[in-house]
Amino acid sequence: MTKKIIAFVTLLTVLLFTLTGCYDSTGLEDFYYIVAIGIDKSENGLIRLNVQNAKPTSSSDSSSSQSNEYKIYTVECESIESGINILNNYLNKKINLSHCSAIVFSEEVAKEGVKSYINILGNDTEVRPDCNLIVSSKESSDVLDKVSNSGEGFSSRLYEYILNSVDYTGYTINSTFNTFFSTLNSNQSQATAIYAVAEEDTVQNSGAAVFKEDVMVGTISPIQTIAHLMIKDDLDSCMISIQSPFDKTDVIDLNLRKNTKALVDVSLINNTPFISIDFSIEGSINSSGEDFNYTILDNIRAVEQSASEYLENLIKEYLYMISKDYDSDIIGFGGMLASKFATADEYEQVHWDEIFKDAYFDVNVDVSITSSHLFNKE
Amino acid sequence: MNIKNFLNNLFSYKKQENYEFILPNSANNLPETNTQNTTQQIFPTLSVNIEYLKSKYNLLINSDVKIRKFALPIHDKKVPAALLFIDGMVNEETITNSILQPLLLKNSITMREQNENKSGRMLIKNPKSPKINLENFIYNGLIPHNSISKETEFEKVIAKVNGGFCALFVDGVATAFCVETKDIKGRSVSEPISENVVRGPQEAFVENVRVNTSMLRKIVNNENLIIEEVDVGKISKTKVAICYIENIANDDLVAEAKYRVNSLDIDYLLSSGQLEQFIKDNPSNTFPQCIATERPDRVSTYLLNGRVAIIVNGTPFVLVVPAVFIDFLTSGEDRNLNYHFANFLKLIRAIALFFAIFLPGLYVAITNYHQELIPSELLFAVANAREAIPFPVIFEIILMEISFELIREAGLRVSSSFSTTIGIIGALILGDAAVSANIVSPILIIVVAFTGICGFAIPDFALTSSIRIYRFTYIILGFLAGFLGIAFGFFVHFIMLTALSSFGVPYFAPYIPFENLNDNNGYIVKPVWRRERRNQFLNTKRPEAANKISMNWRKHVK
Amino acid sequence: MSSNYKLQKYEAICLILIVMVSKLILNVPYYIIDLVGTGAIINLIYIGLLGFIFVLCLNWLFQKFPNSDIIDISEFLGGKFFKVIMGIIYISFFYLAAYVTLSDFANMLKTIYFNNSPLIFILLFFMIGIVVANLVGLKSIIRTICLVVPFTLVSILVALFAVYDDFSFDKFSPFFGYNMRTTFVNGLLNTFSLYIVTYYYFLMPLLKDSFSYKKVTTWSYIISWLLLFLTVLSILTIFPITNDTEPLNALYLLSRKIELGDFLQRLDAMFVLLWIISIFCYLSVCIFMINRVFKKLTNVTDEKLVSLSTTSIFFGLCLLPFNVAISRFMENNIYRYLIIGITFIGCFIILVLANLKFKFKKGNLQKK
Repeated sequence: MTKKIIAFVTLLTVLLFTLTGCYDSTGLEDFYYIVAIGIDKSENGLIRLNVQNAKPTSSSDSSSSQSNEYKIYTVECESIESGINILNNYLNKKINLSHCSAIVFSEEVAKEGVKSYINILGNDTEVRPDCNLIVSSKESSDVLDKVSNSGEGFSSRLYEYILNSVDYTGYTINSTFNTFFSTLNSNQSQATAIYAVAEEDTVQNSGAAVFKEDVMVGTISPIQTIAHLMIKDDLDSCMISIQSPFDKTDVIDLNLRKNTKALVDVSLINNTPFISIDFSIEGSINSSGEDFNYTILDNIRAVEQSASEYLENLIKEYLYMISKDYDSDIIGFGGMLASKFATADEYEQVHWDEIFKDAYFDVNVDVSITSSHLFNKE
Repeated sequence: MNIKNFLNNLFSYKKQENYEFILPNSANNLPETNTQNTTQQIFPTLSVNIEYLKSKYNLLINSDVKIRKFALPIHDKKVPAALLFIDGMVNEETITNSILQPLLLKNSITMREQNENKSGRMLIKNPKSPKINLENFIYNGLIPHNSISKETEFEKVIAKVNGGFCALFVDGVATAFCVETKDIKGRSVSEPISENVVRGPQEAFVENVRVNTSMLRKIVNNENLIIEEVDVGKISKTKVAICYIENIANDDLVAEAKYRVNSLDIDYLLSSGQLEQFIKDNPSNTFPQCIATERPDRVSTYLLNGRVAIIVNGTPFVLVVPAVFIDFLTSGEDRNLNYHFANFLKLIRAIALFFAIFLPGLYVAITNYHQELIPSELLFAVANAREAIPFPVIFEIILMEISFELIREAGLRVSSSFSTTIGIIGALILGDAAVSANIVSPILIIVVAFTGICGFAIPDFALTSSIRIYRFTYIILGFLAGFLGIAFGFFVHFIMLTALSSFGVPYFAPYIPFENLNDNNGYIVKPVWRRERRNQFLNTKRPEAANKISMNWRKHVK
Repeated sequence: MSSNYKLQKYEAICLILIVMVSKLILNVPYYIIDLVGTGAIINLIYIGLLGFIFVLCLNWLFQKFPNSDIIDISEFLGGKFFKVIMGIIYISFFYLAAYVTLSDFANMLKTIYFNNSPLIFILLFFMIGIVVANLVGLKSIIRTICLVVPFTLVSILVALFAVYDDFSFDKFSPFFGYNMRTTFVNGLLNTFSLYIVTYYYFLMPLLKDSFSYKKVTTWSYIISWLLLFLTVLSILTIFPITNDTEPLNALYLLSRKIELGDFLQRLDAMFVLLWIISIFCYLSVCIFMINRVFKKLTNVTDEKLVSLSTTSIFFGLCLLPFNVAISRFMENNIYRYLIIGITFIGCFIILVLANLKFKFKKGNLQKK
């Protein structure tokens, strides 16, 4: 019995080693790890693929310079896959996307539609689902090139920091490849991406790019992304400056923090969407340029009042912008409406994508000032 | 013809017949023998006393309890007497010189002198005459020893005998004389070498089987501890002692252990390591299936929990059967420690076990197949470090593992004066120089060193050595097919391990097959007051080890 | 002997769970969602209740036949010939189940990690594992399963909790799916996901005491259904359900999303590691079942050695060309109807008839 087992296992093991081999075993130094890829439009109808590689400072290198340890390779090609193939040939190492943390489209590419690129990358098992999706105002290579200028040296973490900052600034949105990929295919909401403006020597994230289907239709400003995030309930805290109710020339800085979840109600009235949004926001006074006594209740009330008005206007402006100007339901009101229907067939009768642009919005914001961060009574 | 035979062997069907012993589920629960409560007075008749002691100590099978019968000559009349002691715990010289000699020789001489002094007449003709008080006579005049006491209850006598005293019974006297003759012979008992503990007894077994049994007697301190002796080996006739506690251990288990040891048909047996391989259920599996320990306190704990210990003369390591997997992650200290800390240590050891087996294999698998698993920054650092290394990971890691094993083996074998040198050579040359010469990457040194430390954290030597073999298997499997290979190895490994059993007890008891985890020494060390039950898988005769409420003082709240 | 090893209660439950888990890892949740869309939630509750009633009926029907499985019962009902037919049906059924599972899984592994390796390389690992497991015997398979199942369950639960952030009820709306008809009438086809019921027909003689049969079936059914339900729930949470997206191997895609802080971001390989082990266990059980049915049909005394030939046949079967289209065809058009036809209708009728015959015989005896 034991003999038989041994014979059988030996036979199979020999087969394992001779007939097959370790085909997929590749040492980790044989890969070329890409930190970010950028896609631009080339003049002759092709695309220009930029890949950025992080080159950590190695101690053995005699000529190690600490600054800008990265390299960007550019290739003109027909598709991403063929571009990577050409680069593989050029670099003599296999390009690996498993550590790619940002995909950058130029605005030009985004306005023509990104579906083909996204589908290619979406079926690549190497691409991370949490990789950032960025639309660049100029060429994507600008973003790749200048991203490191903003702070200390280059690091693969740099792109991750962008996302982390969303939690406390609210000036851009949290757009990962995975959410983009799934909203692209959804009929209940539309996709968004981070919008980056490349300036002289630095890159700034400002607002978000709005997509309709897979085509970019416009951008929303950083202050409007605050409104966007508030409705989507993704904002932890943010800072806004409102006009002081006591002195029109002055501003008061408020630190806002969501109190409860935004109550969004979508209903159909005469086949026109009626969307009402209720907020309750907690705020605290960070600073005020002008002397006012915030220990008096009436003054607080006045600040609350003007903050509420400010936010209501901001949100309304934003909502009408996406519905009237862009006709793109990036919040996902469609999904909220769908929950009011029993079956999908009934919901499809509504033709949400046609009626969204006629939507009427009703926004109520209730700001309550709970405390101030000031220590001195001015 | 040979080929034909071979093919026949290979393909023809033969009914396989494996020897399989399964511990029966229901232990034949004997009626509780009263162990402590009733007090039996010593009988006036010697033969009755001897019968009583024989049954108490199971003298027919117990090898180290001795009864020396002799006749006490008192005035020409021979009074039968008997001396009870445990071999190995008493000083034979003391017994001979201070007890037997005066009783047998001096007695008659002094008597005669006395008689002769008193007008040459025999005053006492009948020893049973009321004029003479034999008890006082012996106590006062016959035993020249500094420490002697009179006992009238068997219980106290037995307690003293278990502690190394020697008891003298005389016909016609309902009292036993307990003489202190405590002595332990052989190599002086020293501290354990391989099983050090911080908190716990610091003594270890020695080579002499008699000394070892006496150490067990001393700790267990109960007459139900049976020590049977068997001679193993046709030429060497090595003394093998099988110890168990009669009213706790499962009879079938004891019978199986005895059967296995007795049925060995070999010329010689020199060590317990040899015996372990002879008696374990699956000799082809490298995982240890018997506990080998040099700590008497550990063996006593196991005995009190219903296991069987096997002592081989000439080896300071005692085998305990049956053994389950978790025993090899248990240190002798666990029971003495605060249970929070003991559990923490157990967890640490489990983690150590995991890394000691899998870490190098996982490293090879991850670096060759699953690069995305490594966090980006770390990956860039590792890739950069590997840039200058000429070898592939698999070669590198096998090289380092083998050199680690070499250092370990060399350090173990040379005398202790050289071991520091070897440490320096290993650390400096193989560690530092290899890295700066770009032969291995620093991260790999960390992996190998961490694996080594994890290996040392496992308390059992046999388990560690078996892990060292499997580690290489996992490295090759990880190289062949990444996580698929590791998973394959894990699956086959576990199929093999779960098929194991040690003396009828499944290897992963009490977890697989799942049992009531309320019993002792499971995967979790219970608080000391919750260790109420003995291991269920042992099917002991006394499943309860303590009362439901063992801390009686808590009941009396003022 | 270990070949006659009898299962304890929880061991039997673990056996059933590993069968369920192997289905969850592969495409079963996807096929459910594919059929009924967002109505999957209500559909699963509906099917779960129907299945539960079915299991209760099964318990009741099996009361008369302690220590016999469906093969014995068919012999009782229709003699040797019928028994052989049932045996052959079940052997091919188990072969098909194992074939679909392994081909699907091996191809998934090939796509994810082994792009350049031939399929035979991946298959060989599984084959060796299965052969070794079956040569050693049921005892070890079951004990290994008992060890693996808790970890696998935890891994699936972790995958579910990872999507907690994205959870909202909007994702499951419209609640009744495409329309009532698809959800409740066509949706009945989804009973194929309760594939575990097949094993209930064979469980009885494997159990240590036949009285625990009721408990084992009920509990294993409830736990398996919960697992299925939770998996479908989380897949719905993550992936938008439209007609043009198809999250094949959804649970794998789900596991890719799991992050533990900023440091450990792609843990999918760890999950795959666990799933490979559970597939090993499941396939061993499949081959064991084939051997067992084969033993019942023939006079083989020791089923262990049969596993060599059984596995060889299985190996050959797996070398048949395979791609996603075949997998879909198999699942959608053959496997699904086969499970419903054999397990839920065929065997049930056999059981009912056998019960009637039993009563009839008993009545005759009483008359005599």
